[in-house]
Amino acid sequence: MNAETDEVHWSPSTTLVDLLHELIDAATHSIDLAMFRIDLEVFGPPLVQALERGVRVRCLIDQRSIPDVNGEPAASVAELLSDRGATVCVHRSRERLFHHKVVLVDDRLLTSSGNWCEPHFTATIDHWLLSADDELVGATRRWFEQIHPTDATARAGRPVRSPRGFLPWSVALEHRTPSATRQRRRLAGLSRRRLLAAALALSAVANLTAIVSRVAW
Amino acid sequence: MRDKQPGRPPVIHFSETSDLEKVVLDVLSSARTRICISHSMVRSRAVCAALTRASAAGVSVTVLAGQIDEEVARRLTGAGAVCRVFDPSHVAAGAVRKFHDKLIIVDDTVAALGSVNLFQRSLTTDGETLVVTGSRRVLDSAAAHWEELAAWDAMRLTGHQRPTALRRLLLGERVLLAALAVSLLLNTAFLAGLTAVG
Repeated sequence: MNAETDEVHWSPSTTLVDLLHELIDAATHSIDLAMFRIDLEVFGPPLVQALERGVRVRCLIDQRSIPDVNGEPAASVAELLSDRGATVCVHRSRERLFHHKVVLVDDRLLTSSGNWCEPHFTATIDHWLLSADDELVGATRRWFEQIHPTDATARAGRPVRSPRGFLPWSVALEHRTPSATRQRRRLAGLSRRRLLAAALALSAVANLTAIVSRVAW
Repeated sequence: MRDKQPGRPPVIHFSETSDLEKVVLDVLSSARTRICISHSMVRSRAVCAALTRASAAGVSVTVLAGQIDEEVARRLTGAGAVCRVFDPSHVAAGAVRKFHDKLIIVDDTVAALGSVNLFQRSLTTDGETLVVTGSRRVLDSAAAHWEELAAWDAMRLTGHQRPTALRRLLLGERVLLAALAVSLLLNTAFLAGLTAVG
């Protein structure tokens, strides 16, 4: 296959989710997925079905795909995928986003500007490039093998970072920032700038009080 | 008239194995007639410099952006480029909420598309993908998409406003920190004064 068979889809579109489902459903051998954000509630079930057909499934996702609340359906889908033999690894880094949107299904590549979640299907301007070009597919396969954690690392039940910063889903889930803490931080809105402004206001009030008391005295 | 022969073979670049900023700059510097950009964020000074050079060399440069740095927009329009930015207030409720495209078309012969945004961290640090292709199917589809966006009412012209560096400076942390330091000094002086008087 060459690039002249490539096709680009554009969102917003009401047919994109169907296209992605069809892509997963057509898998016969392997699905390698590297994604910044993916809605596992939507794409978990077809991935589980693929596993049941004997397809090898490997998912590398950014930590921002981890839901805030324990027990969310997405977390149970990821656990289900792991239980069925898929590799689900989370990229954890404060400094670096794992911003890829690459999926290799057998000999077909889908790379996009949009993540695999709403609003990228129906409410954003995004592109979705589907290619069966031998060069692109081969290069992506080599890249995936290069960055994918070894099985030993992927299945380790302890918080050991692989050289590329991946952790197994279950370990990443245990070591995320507790959602309650995140919520408190959000509510308090303790940004540095606000703290500085508050300190400045306090100091100004103290100055004013000193001036008033000095004058009164 | 476009060349209907198969174009440049596609190459996929990953940030783990390639310098994506260099790839993007090489694509831009190869332009001879036209650069069409449709990107979520345009903030990179290196990209701005490359586009400014291209525009100064007579290349037609048009940037459609979800967000664009005001200084970058000012420089680009100063060099003769056209910058349009997505204005969600022009879009009906429930329709498009975000301009998230990442597409560059050069001379109608090369398209660069993928996950990479045009700002420094994305180009140099984050895990990103970029496909550079001369596929006619991709180019024709991308050109039609780009023309549609360029004619869209929600893309308003930008880049002629004065830079808001002063506003940013006034709201910045450094100014707050300096004001706090001055205020604390005043406090200390008053306290010292009161103690001396006491």
